[in-house]
Amino acid sequence: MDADSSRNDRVVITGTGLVCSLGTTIQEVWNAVISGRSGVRQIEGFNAQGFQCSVAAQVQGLDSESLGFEPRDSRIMDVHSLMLMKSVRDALSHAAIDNSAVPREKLALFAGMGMVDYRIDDLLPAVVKSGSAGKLFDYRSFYGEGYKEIHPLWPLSMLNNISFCQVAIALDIQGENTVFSPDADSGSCAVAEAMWSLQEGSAVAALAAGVSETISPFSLARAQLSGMLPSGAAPGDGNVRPFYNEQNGTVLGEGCGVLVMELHSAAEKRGVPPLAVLSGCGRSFGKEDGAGAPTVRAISAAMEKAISSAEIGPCDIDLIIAHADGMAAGDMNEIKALQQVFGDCGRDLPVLCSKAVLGQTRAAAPVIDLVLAVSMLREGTIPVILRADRSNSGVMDMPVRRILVNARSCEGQAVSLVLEEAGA
Amino acid sequence: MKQTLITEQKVFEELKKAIIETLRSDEAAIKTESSLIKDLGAESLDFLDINYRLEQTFGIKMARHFILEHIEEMFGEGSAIDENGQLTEKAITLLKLRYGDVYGDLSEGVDMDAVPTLITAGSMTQGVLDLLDTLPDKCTQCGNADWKTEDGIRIKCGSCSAFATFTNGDDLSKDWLTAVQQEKKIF
Amino acid sequence: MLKEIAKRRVVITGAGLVTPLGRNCGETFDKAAQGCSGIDYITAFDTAGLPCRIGGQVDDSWLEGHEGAWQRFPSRGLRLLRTAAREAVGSAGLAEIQRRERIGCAIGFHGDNPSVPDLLLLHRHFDGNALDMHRIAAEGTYPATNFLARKPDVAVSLMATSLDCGGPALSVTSACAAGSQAIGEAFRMIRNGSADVMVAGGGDSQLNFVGFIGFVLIKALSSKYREPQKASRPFDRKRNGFVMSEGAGIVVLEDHDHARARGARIMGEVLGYGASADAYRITDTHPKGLGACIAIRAALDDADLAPDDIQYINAHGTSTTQNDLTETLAVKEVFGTSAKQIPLSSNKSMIGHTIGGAGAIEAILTLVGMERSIMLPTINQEFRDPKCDLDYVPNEARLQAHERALSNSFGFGGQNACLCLGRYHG
Repeated sequence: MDADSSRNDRVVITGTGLVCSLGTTIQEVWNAVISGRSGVRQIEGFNAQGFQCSVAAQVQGLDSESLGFEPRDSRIMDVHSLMLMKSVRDALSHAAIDNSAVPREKLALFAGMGMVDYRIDDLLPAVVKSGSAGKLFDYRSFYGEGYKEIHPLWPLSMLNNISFCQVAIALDIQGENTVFSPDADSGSCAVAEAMWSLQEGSAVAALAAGVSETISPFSLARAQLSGMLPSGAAPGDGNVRPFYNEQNGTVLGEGCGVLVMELHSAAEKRGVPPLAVLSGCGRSFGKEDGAGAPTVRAISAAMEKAISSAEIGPCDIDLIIAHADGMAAGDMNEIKALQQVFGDCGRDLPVLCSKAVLGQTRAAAPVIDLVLAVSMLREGTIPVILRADRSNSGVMDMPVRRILVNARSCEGQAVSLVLEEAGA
Repeated sequence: MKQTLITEQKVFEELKKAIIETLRSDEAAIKTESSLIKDLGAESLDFLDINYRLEQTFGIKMARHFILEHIEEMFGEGSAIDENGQLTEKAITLLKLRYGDVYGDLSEGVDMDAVPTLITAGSMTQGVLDLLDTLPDKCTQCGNADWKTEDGIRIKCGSCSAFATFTNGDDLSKDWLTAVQQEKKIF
Repeated sequence: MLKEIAKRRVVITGAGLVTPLGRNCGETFDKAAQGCSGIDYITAFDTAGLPCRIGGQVDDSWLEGHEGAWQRFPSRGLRLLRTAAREAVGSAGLAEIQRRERIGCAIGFHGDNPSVPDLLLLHRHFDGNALDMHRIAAEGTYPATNFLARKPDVAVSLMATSLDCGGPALSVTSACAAGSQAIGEAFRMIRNGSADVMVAGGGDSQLNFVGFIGFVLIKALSSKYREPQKASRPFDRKRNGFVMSEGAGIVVLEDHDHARARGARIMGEVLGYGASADAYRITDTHPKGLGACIAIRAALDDADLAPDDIQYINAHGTSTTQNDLTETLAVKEVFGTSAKQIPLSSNKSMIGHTIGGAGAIEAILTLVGMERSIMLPTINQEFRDPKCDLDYVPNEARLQAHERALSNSFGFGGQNACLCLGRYHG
């Protein structure tokens, strides 16, 4: 296969969508990021004062009516469904994919979906009706009759894949699909699967999405009880301090990133310009005991595989967007892995972390990072507010050609993706 | 006892609200003869939702099984639905006896899958009224015959403020079938 | 380079099952071949007052205990997965493979549900606005693991760690299609060179009050049955909902040349995989089964086969009024006039629906069936539904050699998956 046709077989990004705490469009978010704003603020919607950390990066300004969901479906929708809908719609529109552009059964959708928590408040009518003769709650009564007071749609709102299906229904996406869950690696897996479905020809265009959890008292409780929130800090003071050994903890974030991907030849045929090229992917599993993170070896292996599958060397990478979520053990492993893989090339290599201003968005993180990376490639600008070493020298105008995006799960998988400028 | 505290008009109004909440239909589109499935686009999940809302609104318990299933249980397999999946003559007789014309012109050979499409806003309103008509003569808590309503939706005892309880929809179907069978000996 | 990779053959070198019918592959298949049912009254929790009181339970004594890292998560679903994996990995001789970073895991699993007391505890400390974390912590009765119990990737992580696999780790949560999709994604990984071996499959146990009433509330479960064993009756006119079960199935998928080189026993081949989305409704299936047709055709295309090449179909066949009709229509649409000549049976008639486990369990039973030239029956075929008029291998297993089969899994919300499997001759 000659160089030209293999180039045509490369997977390109032709559309992007983004919703996060800094905005509900890419333009809005990019402007905020380069002006140094952070999406981390006091949690709204419920009283978070009793938690170790009462700040988070929540999404604002989304409502189901304006998003064009069949309003009747919004009964079982939460923020994650709305985020996914908005981002997918924006991405499809950005890529100029309407009903005629791509046969619907060849439009694939892969997603990393964050966890969905039980809506405890929906149990209230059932609990109330299960009271009997002075007792506050009677199990017999609940099991026998009381449960019937639970809204019949409650179980559906709990299923991990329901919002995925709702978007497929609303936008008539009929192709290949899988839902992975629940951590950052699942967002990267969605991108990887999309790449392969295109290269194997089972899809003509593929959407890769990453969706975070919805921040609620229960997701916050889950984060706190599993040791993810910063300890020792005052409740209001939340910051993701990546690569710092002194503080261990992250701040939760809401968000969703979506990429529309096609083979370069297909994009050319449609007359749609490629925004960037997804040139490499690598993953590796190796859980470090007690660290809630992959081993140094696994993180290095993922990066090495991604770089070699892109048919380049470490010194060809201009910029790294690290996973760097403020969880000390994992971050330290990531630093060591970076040092191992990049050695001398790594000396002046900028390392960015978006979680400092967007929070830890779990399954959404790597896809959001890729969307931001596309902007960086096209604008030739690096938002320095994101720099992991916190050096503060304003926005950097620095042309970048190849960006490496890292993601990891606390269960031990590391995934890396390489993004290149279009026409590289 | 047949109750007059909650009117047919009120029930229809509340049903419309439930349909609008669930299906986001236009109020003008909801007529008594509107089929929920064919005219308003309901799917099976929506029936669950609408029934739930009606239960919460009026304090009733809607039937969880359609009357055809009760017929089969009481009078044997094949009594309501034949081996071709169609309604039997006796099933149609019973439906007409129970619901009158509310299901439209039912003729023999109607496929059982078509039956849900026959459910209209009118038939659902009637279903709620039938349940409300099982209002006991006297309050079960204090024994007084003093039913009242403040909002035209929930019936309460004027003496002790207890909410009225009604026969649940499945029992109502079974009671009715038993009574009709005694009277008319259809099976 | 891409073209060469796409030609890699993927074979199955190990399989493990634990289902209400048996503690391993052999027992489950043998019982199924006799038309036995694994459904009975549920004893795992009190079902008094529920419209459906039956399910497929796995005998406790068949389950692996928890050792090492698994002990932190004493979840039933994980035990099922671990038990099935042990059989699969043992029969594949996985331990002898050197390059561990070339072995990955793909598991369909949906985590554990909280118990009602758990939910109530949270409820008690939630006033509609604030969750009293201090009280919860002070009471000390709500362990962190409860929150993490629903975390689906714990299964993949424990599996990969205990089996010492360093390759791709996929945690698939596509409801009823998850098991099939996990195998399909694993198949693709080996085929494109991302891995040489994949431990893939799925499992779930939703036989607890909270998991169960979810399906009761949406009226998906069978509530009219003369006896438990007769409740799951796919394609039968009297079908009225599915029967919930627990179980797990795991396969070891391997690159063909890699398997031959190490002398592994090959029990079958994955020929193709197709997936689609109904994009129609959340619970109602498309009336013409369009999404199912797309998935089936995609699997055939992927396997480079024509509809006429298929000799048996393992149906999704849940025993719901809708699915069974839709599936029948889809098969007729894809196979045209040949549809009535292709036997199609549902294992769920005997095992029930294991949600994440279904696709994997059924793929394995299909493979064993091909090896032994036995087509498993759809039991409880008593009342013919004129709209479901295919050959469902009614009530009795059939001795019939067959080489190529499909296995369907059509999930909640409209996610569809179809695996094309083949007998291996070399």
